[in-house]
Amino acid sequence: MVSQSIRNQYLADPDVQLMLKVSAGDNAAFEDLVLRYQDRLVGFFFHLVHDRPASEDLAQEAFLRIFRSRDRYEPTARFSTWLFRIAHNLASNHRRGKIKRRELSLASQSGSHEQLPAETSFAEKSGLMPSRQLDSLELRELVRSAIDELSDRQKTAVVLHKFEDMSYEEIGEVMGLGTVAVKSLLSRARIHLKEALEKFS
Amino acid sequence: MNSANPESESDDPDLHETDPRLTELVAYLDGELSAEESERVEKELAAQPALRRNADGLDRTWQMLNALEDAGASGEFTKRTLASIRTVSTPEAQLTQPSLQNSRIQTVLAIAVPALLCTAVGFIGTAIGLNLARNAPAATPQDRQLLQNFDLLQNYQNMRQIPDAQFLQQLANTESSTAGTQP
Repeated sequence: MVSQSIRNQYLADPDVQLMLKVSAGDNAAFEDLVLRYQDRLVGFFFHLVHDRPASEDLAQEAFLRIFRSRDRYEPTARFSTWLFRIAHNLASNHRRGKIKRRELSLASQSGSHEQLPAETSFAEKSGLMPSRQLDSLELRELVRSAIDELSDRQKTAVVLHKFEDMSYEEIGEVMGLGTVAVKSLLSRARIHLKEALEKFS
Repeated sequence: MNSANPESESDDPDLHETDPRLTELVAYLDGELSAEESERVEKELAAQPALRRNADGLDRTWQMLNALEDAGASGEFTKRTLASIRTVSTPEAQLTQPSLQNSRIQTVLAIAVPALLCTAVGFIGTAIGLNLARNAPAATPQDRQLLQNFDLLQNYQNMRQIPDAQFLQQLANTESSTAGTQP
Protein backbone atom coordinates (compact mmCIF):
# COMPACT_ATOMS: atom_id res chain seq x y z
CA MET A 1 0.00 0.00 0.00
CA VAL A 2 1.39 3.36 -1.04
CA SER A 3 1.43 6.06 1.63
CA GLN A 4 -0.69 9.14 1.01
CA SER A 5 2.35 11.47 1.09
CA ILE A 6 4.10 9.52 -1.71
CA ARG A 7 0.85 9.44 -3.68
CA ASN A 8 0.31 13.19 -3.31
CA GLN A 9 3.88 13.87 -4.45
CA TYR A 10 3.09 12.59 -7.94
CA LEU A 11 -0.54 13.64 -8.30
CA ALA A 12 0.54 16.96 -9.81
CA ASP A 13 1.97 15.09 -12.82
CA PRO A 14 -0.69 15.45 -15.58
CA ASP A 15 0.30 12.06 -17.00
CA VAL A 16 -0.28 10.46 -13.61
CA GLN A 17 -3.75 12.04 -13.69
CA LEU A 18 -4.34 10.52 -17.13
CA MET A 19 -3.19 7.12 -15.89
CA LEU A 20 -5.56 7.36 -12.90
CA LYS A 21 -8.37 7.98 -15.40
CA VAL A 22 -7.26 4.89 -17.33
CA SER A 23 -7.29 2.97 -14.06
CA ALA A 24 -10.90 4.11 -13.56
CA GLY A 25 -11.85 2.68 -16.97
CA ASP A 26 -11.29 5.64 -19.31
CA ASN A 27 -9.63 4.07 -22.36
CA ALA A 28 -9.60 7.40 -24.23
CA ALA A 29 -7.15 8.70 -21.60
CA PHE A 30 -4.81 5.87 -22.49
CA GLU A 31 -4.93 6.87 -26.15
CA ASP A 32 -3.77 10.34 -25.04
CA LEU A 33 -0.84 8.76 -23.20
CA VAL A 34 0.09 6.69 -26.27
CA LEU A 35 0.07 9.79 -28.46
CA ARG A 36 2.14 11.73 -25.92
CA TYR A 37 4.83 9.11 -25.43
CA GLN A 38 4.97 6.99 -28.58
CA ASP A 39 7.74 8.99 -30.30
CA ARG A 40 9.91 9.11 -27.18
CA LEU A 41 9.44 5.42 -26.50
CA VAL A 42 10.11 4.25 -30.06
CA GLY A 43 13.13 6.60 -30.14
CA PHE A 44 14.46 5.16 -26.87
CA PHE A 45 14.29 1.62 -28.20
CA PHE A 46 15.66 2.62 -31.59
CA HIS A 47 18.79 4.16 -30.01
CA LEU A 48 19.35 0.90 -28.16
CA VAL A 49 18.50 -1.74 -30.79
CA HIS A 50 18.90 0.17 -34.12
CA ASP A 51 16.00 -1.71 -35.64
CA ARG A 52 12.78 0.17 -36.38
CA PRO A 53 10.33 -2.78 -36.49
CA ALA A 54 11.84 -4.23 -33.30
CA SER A 55 11.68 -0.78 -31.64
CA GLU A 56 8.01 -0.41 -32.50
CA ASP A 57 7.24 -3.94 -31.28
CA LEU A 58 9.00 -3.23 -27.98
CA ALA A 59 7.25 0.14 -27.59
CA GLN A 60 3.89 -1.50 -28.26
CA GLU A 61 4.65 -4.17 -25.67
CA ALA A 62 5.55 -1.47 -23.12
CA PHE A 63 2.20 0.28 -23.70
CA LEU A 64 0.34 -3.01 -23.47
CA ARG A 65 2.04 -3.89 -20.20
CA ILE A 66 1.02 -0.55 -18.76
CA PHE A 67 -2.54 -0.97 -19.97
CA ARG A 68 -2.80 -4.50 -18.60
CA SER A 69 -1.65 -3.34 -15.16
CA ARG A 70 -4.06 -0.37 -15.06
CA ASP A 71 -6.25 -1.93 -12.35
CA ARG A 72 -3.30 -2.16 -9.96
CA TYR A 73 -1.89 1.27 -10.77
CA GLU A 74 -0.55 3.32 -7.86
CA PRO A 75 1.25 6.62 -8.50
CA THR A 76 4.61 5.81 -6.91
CA ALA A 77 6.67 7.75 -9.46
CA ARG A 78 6.28 10.19 -12.32
CA PHE A 79 4.48 8.49 -15.19
CA SER A 80 7.50 8.87 -17.50
CA THR A 81 9.77 7.22 -14.91
CA TRP A 82 7.41 4.26 -14.63
CA LEU A 83 7.06 3.97 -18.41
CA PHE A 84 10.82 4.06 -19.04
CA ARG A 85 11.45 1.58 -16.23
CA ILE A 86 9.21 -0.89 -18.05
CA ALA A 87 10.92 0.03 -21.34
CA HIS A 88 14.37 -0.51 -19.77
CA ASN A 89 13.36 -3.99 -18.56
CA LEU A 90 11.97 -4.87 -21.99
CA ALA A 91 15.14 -3.67 -23.70
CA SER A 92 17.29 -5.72 -21.29
CA ASN A 93 15.22 -8.85 -21.99
CA HIS A 94 15.43 -8.18 -25.74
CA ARG A 95 19.24 -7.88 -25.59
CA ARG A 96 19.55 -11.04 -23.49
CA GLY A 97 17.40 -12.91 -26.03
CA LYS A 98 19.52 -11.58 -28.87
CA ILE A 99 22.77 -12.64 -27.18
CA LYS A 100 21.34 -16.11 -26.55
CA ARG A 101 20.28 -16.46 -30.19
CA ARG A 102 23.73 -15.33 -31.34
CA GLU A 103 25.42 -17.84 -29.02
CA LEU A 104 23.22 -20.64 -30.31
CA SER A 105 23.93 -19.61 -33.89
CA LEU A 106 27.70 -19.53 -33.26
CA ALA A 107 27.53 -22.88 -31.45
CA SER A 108 25.80 -24.45 -34.44
CA GLN A 109 28.43 -22.98 -36.77
CA SER A 110 31.48 -23.98 -34.71
CA GLY A 111 33.42 -26.88 -36.09
CA SER A 112 32.43 -26.27 -39.68
CA HIS A 113 33.60 -22.66 -39.91
CA GLU A 114 36.63 -20.71 -38.91
CA GLN A 115 36.32 -18.48 -35.88
CA LEU A 116 34.83 -15.09 -36.72
CA PRO A 117 37.15 -12.11 -36.38
CA ALA A 118 36.52 -9.72 -33.51
CA GLU A 119 34.10 -6.92 -34.31
CA THR A 120 35.76 -3.77 -35.49
CA SER A 121 34.54 -0.22 -35.17
CA PHE A 122 32.81 1.58 -38.00
CA ALA A 123 35.84 3.83 -38.49
CA GLU A 124 38.15 0.83 -38.87
CA LYS A 125 35.76 -1.04 -41.13
CA SER A 126 35.18 1.91 -43.45
CA GLY A 127 38.78 3.15 -43.29
CA LEU A 128 37.71 6.65 -42.33
CA MET A 129 40.52 9.16 -42.06
CA PRO A 130 40.15 11.42 -39.02
CA SER A 131 41.29 14.48 -41.00
CA ARG A 132 38.59 14.05 -43.67
CA GLN A 133 35.28 15.96 -43.44
CA LEU A 134 32.54 13.43 -42.71
CA ASP A 135 29.13 13.55 -44.35
CA SER A 136 26.11 13.25 -42.08
CA LEU A 137 25.54 9.57 -42.82
CA GLU A 138 29.15 8.68 -42.04
CA LEU A 139 29.04 10.74 -38.86
CA ARG A 140 25.86 8.99 -37.81
CA GLU A 141 27.38 5.56 -38.36
CA LEU A 142 30.52 6.59 -36.53
CA VAL A 143 28.57 7.79 -33.49
CA ARG A 144 26.34 4.73 -33.55
CA SER A 145 29.37 2.47 -33.68
CA ALA A 146 30.95 4.30 -30.71
CA ILE A 147 27.73 3.97 -28.70
CA ASP A 148 27.49 0.28 -29.52
CA GLU A 149 30.89 -0.24 -27.92
CA LEU A 150 29.47 0.95 -24.57
CA SER A 151 28.17 -1.56 -22.06
CA ASP A 152 24.38 -2.00 -22.05
CA ARG A 153 24.04 -0.07 -18.80
CA GLN A 154 26.23 2.77 -20.05
CA LYS A 155 24.27 2.91 -23.30
CA THR A 156 20.91 3.08 -21.51
CA ALA A 157 22.16 5.79 -19.18
CA VAL A 158 23.50 7.79 -22.15
CA VAL A 159 20.23 7.51 -24.09
CA LEU A 160 18.13 8.50 -21.07
CA HIS A 161 20.36 11.44 -20.26
CA LYS A 162 21.04 12.70 -23.77
CA PHE A 163 17.69 12.10 -25.48
CA GLU A 164 15.24 11.95 -22.58
CA ASP A 165 16.92 14.76 -20.68
CA MET A 166 16.73 12.79 -17.43
CA SER A 167 18.65 13.75 -14.32
CA TYR A 168 20.99 11.27 -12.62
CA GLU A 169 18.31 10.65 -10.00
CA GLU A 170 15.62 9.87 -12.58
CA ILE A 171 18.00 7.58 -14.48
CA GLY A 172 18.68 5.81 -11.19
CA GLU A 173 14.93 5.33 -10.65
CA VAL A 174 14.47 3.92 -14.15
CA MET A 175 17.47 1.60 -13.98
CA GLY A 176 17.15 0.64 -10.31
CA LEU A 177 20.52 2.17 -9.39
CA GLY A 178 21.82 4.72 -6.91
CA THR A 179 22.92 8.18 -8.05
CA VAL A 180 26.62 7.37 -7.47
CA ALA A 181 26.35 4.36 -9.78
CA VAL A 182 24.68 6.48 -12.48
CA LYS A 183 27.42 9.11 -12.13
CA SER A 184 30.02 6.42 -12.64
CA LEU A 185 28.21 4.91 -15.65
CA LEU A 186 27.91 8.25 -17.38
CA SER A 187 31.47 9.36 -16.71
CA ARG A 188 32.85 6.07 -18.08
CA ALA A 189 30.57 6.38 -21.11
CA ARG A 190 31.58 10.00 -21.75
CA ILE A 191 35.26 9.13 -21.51
CA HIS A 192 34.84 6.25 -23.95
CA LEU A 193 32.90 8.41 -26.41
CA LYS A 194 35.56 11.09 -26.20
CA GLU A 195 38.29 8.55 -26.98
CA ALA A 196 36.32 7.09 -29.90
CA LEU A 197 35.05 10.31 -31.45
CA GLU A 198 37.40 13.14 -30.54
CA LYS A 199 39.65 12.69 -33.55
CA PHE A 200 36.59 13.16 -35.83
CA SER A 201 35.13 16.13 -33.97
CA MET B 1 11.04 5.04 -4.59
CA ASN B 2 14.58 4.35 -5.70
CA SER B 3 14.73 0.63 -6.32
CA ALA B 4 18.52 0.46 -6.35
CA ASN B 5 19.90 -3.04 -6.27
CA PRO B 6 22.99 -2.98 -4.02
CA GLU B 7 23.96 -6.54 -4.91
CA SER B 8 24.21 -5.96 -8.66
CA GLU B 9 25.85 -2.56 -8.06
CA SER B 10 28.62 -4.16 -6.00
CA ASP B 11 29.16 -6.84 -8.65
CA ASP B 12 29.48 -4.58 -11.67
CA PRO B 13 32.78 -2.66 -11.94
CA ASP B 14 31.01 -0.38 -14.43
CA LEU B 15 29.15 1.16 -11.48
CA HIS B 16 32.24 2.05 -9.44
CA GLU B 17 33.94 5.41 -9.69
CA THR B 18 37.34 5.24 -11.39
CA ASP B 19 38.66 8.77 -11.45
CA PRO B 20 36.79 11.03 -8.99
CA ARG B 21 38.04 14.18 -10.77
CA LEU B 22 36.73 13.00 -14.15
CA THR B 23 33.44 11.88 -12.61
CA GLU B 24 33.06 15.30 -11.04
CA LEU B 25 33.95 17.02 -14.33
CA VAL B 26 31.29 15.02 -16.22
CA ALA B 27 28.73 15.73 -13.50
CA TYR B 28 29.62 19.42 -13.81
CA LEU B 29 29.06 19.32 -17.60
CA ASP B 30 25.75 17.54 -16.98
CA GLY B 31 24.65 20.25 -14.53
CA GLU B 32 24.44 17.74 -11.67
CA LEU B 33 26.64 19.54 -9.15
CA SER B 34 25.56 21.92 -6.42
CA ALA B 35 26.36 25.61 -6.77
CA GLU B 36 29.28 25.23 -4.38
CA GLU B 37 30.74 22.22 -6.20
CA SER B 38 30.29 23.91 -9.58
CA GLU B 39 32.17 26.97 -8.37
CA ARG B 40 35.09 24.83 -7.25
CA VAL B 41 35.25 23.00 -10.62
CA GLU B 42 35.12 26.32 -12.50
CA LYS B 43 38.09 27.59 -10.51
CA GLU B 44 40.03 24.43 -11.38
CA LEU B 45 39.12 24.78 -15.06
CA ALA B 46 40.32 28.38 -15.08
CA ALA B 47 43.61 27.34 -13.49
CA GLN B 48 44.33 24.14 -15.47
CA PRO B 49 44.47 24.25 -19.30
CA ALA B 50 44.73 20.42 -19.57
CA LEU B 51 41.53 19.98 -17.55
CA ARG B 52 39.90 22.65 -19.73
CA ARG B 53 40.88 20.76 -22.92
CA ASN B 54 39.55 17.56 -21.42
CA ALA B 55 36.23 19.24 -20.58
CA ASP B 56 36.06 20.71 -24.08
CA GLY B 57 36.67 17.26 -25.66
CA LEU B 58 34.00 15.68 -23.49
CA ASP B 59 31.53 18.37 -24.44
CA ARG B 60 32.23 18.28 -28.22
CA THR B 61 31.97 14.49 -28.46
CA TRP B 62 28.74 14.60 -26.43
CA GLN B 63 27.31 17.05 -28.97
CA MET B 64 28.23 14.61 -31.77
CA LEU B 65 25.46 12.34 -30.49
CA ASN B 66 23.01 14.80 -32.03
CA ALA B 67 23.95 13.25 -35.39
CA LEU B 68 22.05 10.10 -34.46
CA GLU B 69 18.87 9.45 -36.38
CA ASP B 70 15.77 10.50 -34.51
CA ALA B 71 13.25 7.69 -34.94
CA GLY B 72 9.67 8.56 -34.03
CA ALA B 73 6.66 6.28 -34.20
CA SER B 74 5.14 5.60 -37.61
CA GLY B 75 1.45 6.29 -38.30
CA GLU B 76 0.97 2.56 -38.52
CA PHE B 77 2.38 2.18 -35.00
CA THR B 78 -0.31 4.42 -33.52
CA LYS B 79 -3.10 2.50 -35.28
CA ARG B 80 -1.62 -0.87 -34.38
CA THR B 81 -1.07 0.00 -30.72
CA LEU B 82 -4.51 1.50 -30.23
CA ALA B 83 -6.09 -1.51 -31.94
CA SER B 84 -4.17 -3.91 -29.69
CA ILE B 85 -5.32 -1.98 -26.63
CA ARG B 86 -8.92 -2.28 -27.80
CA THR B 87 -8.36 -6.01 -28.24
CA VAL B 88 -6.96 -6.29 -24.73
CA SER B 89 -9.93 -4.41 -23.27
CA THR B 90 -12.48 -6.45 -25.29
CA PRO B 91 -12.14 -9.72 -23.32
CA GLU B 92 -13.60 -7.89 -20.34
CA ALA B 93 -16.73 -7.23 -22.36
CA GLN B 94 -16.68 -10.83 -23.48
CA LEU B 95 -16.48 -11.94 -19.88
CA THR B 96 -20.02 -10.61 -19.29
CA GLN B 97 -21.33 -12.27 -22.48
CA PRO B 98 -20.77 -15.86 -21.32
CA SER B 99 -22.63 -15.09 -18.10
CA LEU B 100 -25.67 -14.10 -20.19
CA GLN B 101 -25.34 -17.30 -22.19
CA ASN B 102 -24.95 -19.23 -18.95
CA SER B 103 -28.20 -17.84 -17.57
CA ARG B 104 -30.00 -18.90 -20.77
CA ILE B 105 -28.52 -22.37 -20.49
CA GLN B 106 -29.57 -22.52 -16.82
CA THR B 107 -33.20 -21.68 -17.76
CA VAL B 108 -33.28 -24.45 -20.37
CA LEU B 109 -31.72 -26.87 -17.92
CA ALA B 110 -34.27 -25.93 -15.23
CA ILE B 111 -37.03 -27.16 -17.55
CA ALA B 112 -35.26 -30.04 -19.21
CA VAL B 113 -33.76 -31.70 -16.13
CA PRO B 114 -37.07 -32.35 -14.28
CA ALA B 115 -38.64 -33.58 -17.54
CA LEU B 116 -35.74 -35.93 -18.12
CA LEU B 117 -35.91 -37.11 -14.49
CA CYS B 118 -39.65 -37.90 -14.83
CA THR B 119 -39.01 -39.81 -18.04
CA ALA B 120 -36.20 -41.72 -16.42
CA VAL B 121 -38.28 -42.57 -13.33
CA GLY B 122 -41.14 -43.78 -15.58
CA PHE B 123 -38.78 -45.86 -17.63
CA ILE B 124 -37.18 -47.39 -14.56
CA GLY B 125 -40.61 -48.09 -13.00
CA THR B 126 -41.82 -49.86 -16.14
CA ALA B 127 -38.63 -51.88 -16.32
CA ILE B 128 -38.98 -52.93 -12.68
CA GLY B 129 -42.67 -53.87 -13.20
CA LEU B 130 -41.87 -55.96 -16.26
CA ASN B 131 -39.05 -57.62 -14.44
CA LEU B 132 -41.28 -58.50 -11.46
CA ALA B 133 -43.95 -59.91 -13.80
CA ARG B 134 -41.35 -61.96 -15.61
CA ASN B 135 -39.99 -63.34 -12.35
CA ALA B 136 -43.46 -64.14 -10.85
CA PRO B 137 -43.84 -67.84 -9.71
CA ALA B 138 -45.53 -70.22 -12.24
CA ALA B 139 -49.19 -71.40 -11.52
CA THR B 140 -49.45 -74.81 -9.72
CA PRO B 141 -52.08 -77.55 -10.74
CA GLN B 142 -53.99 -76.61 -7.63
CA ASP B 143 -54.17 -72.98 -8.79
CA ARG B 144 -55.37 -74.08 -12.22
CA GLN B 145 -58.14 -76.20 -10.70
CA LEU B 146 -59.27 -73.31 -8.52
CA LEU B 147 -59.44 -71.03 -11.58
CA GLN B 148 -61.41 -73.66 -13.49
CA ASN B 149 -64.00 -73.88 -10.67
CA PHE B 150 -64.01 -70.12 -10.05
CA ASP B 151 -67.74 -69.72 -11.08
CA LEU B 152 -68.77 -72.62 -8.89
CA LEU B 153 -66.87 -71.20 -5.92
CA GLN B 154 -68.41 -67.77 -6.40
CA ASN B 155 -71.97 -69.37 -6.16
CA TYR B 156 -71.00 -71.80 -3.42
CA GLN B 157 -73.77 -70.68 -1.02
CA ASN B 158 -76.50 -71.19 -3.67
CA MET B 159 -75.09 -74.54 -4.73
CA ARG B 160 -75.32 -75.85 -1.18
CA GLN B 161 -79.19 -75.64 -1.44
CA ILE B 162 -79.28 -78.21 -4.31
CA PRO B 163 -79.91 -81.71 -2.85
CA ASP B 164 -78.62 -83.86 -5.79
CA ALA B 165 -77.92 -84.01 -9.55
CA GLN B 166 -81.43 -85.29 -10.36
CA PHE B 167 -82.92 -82.05 -9.07
CA LEU B 168 -80.72 -80.12 -11.41
CA GLN B 169 -81.89 -82.30 -14.34
CA GLN B 170 -85.55 -81.65 -13.52
CA LEU B 171 -84.82 -77.92 -13.21
CA ALA B 172 -83.20 -77.85 -16.63
CA ASN B 173 -86.16 -79.67 -18.23
CA THR B 174 -88.65 -77.26 -16.63
CA GLU B 175 -86.70 -74.24 -17.92
CA SER B 176 -86.67 -75.61 -21.49
CA SER B 177 -90.45 -76.35 -21.49
CA THR B 178 -91.19 -72.91 -20.07
CA ALA B 179 -89.06 -71.34 -22.77
CA GLY B 180 -91.12 -73.24 -25.46
CA THR B 181 -94.48 -71.78 -24.24
CA GLN B 182 -93.22 -68.20 -24.16
CA PRO B 183 -94.62 -65.91 -26.96
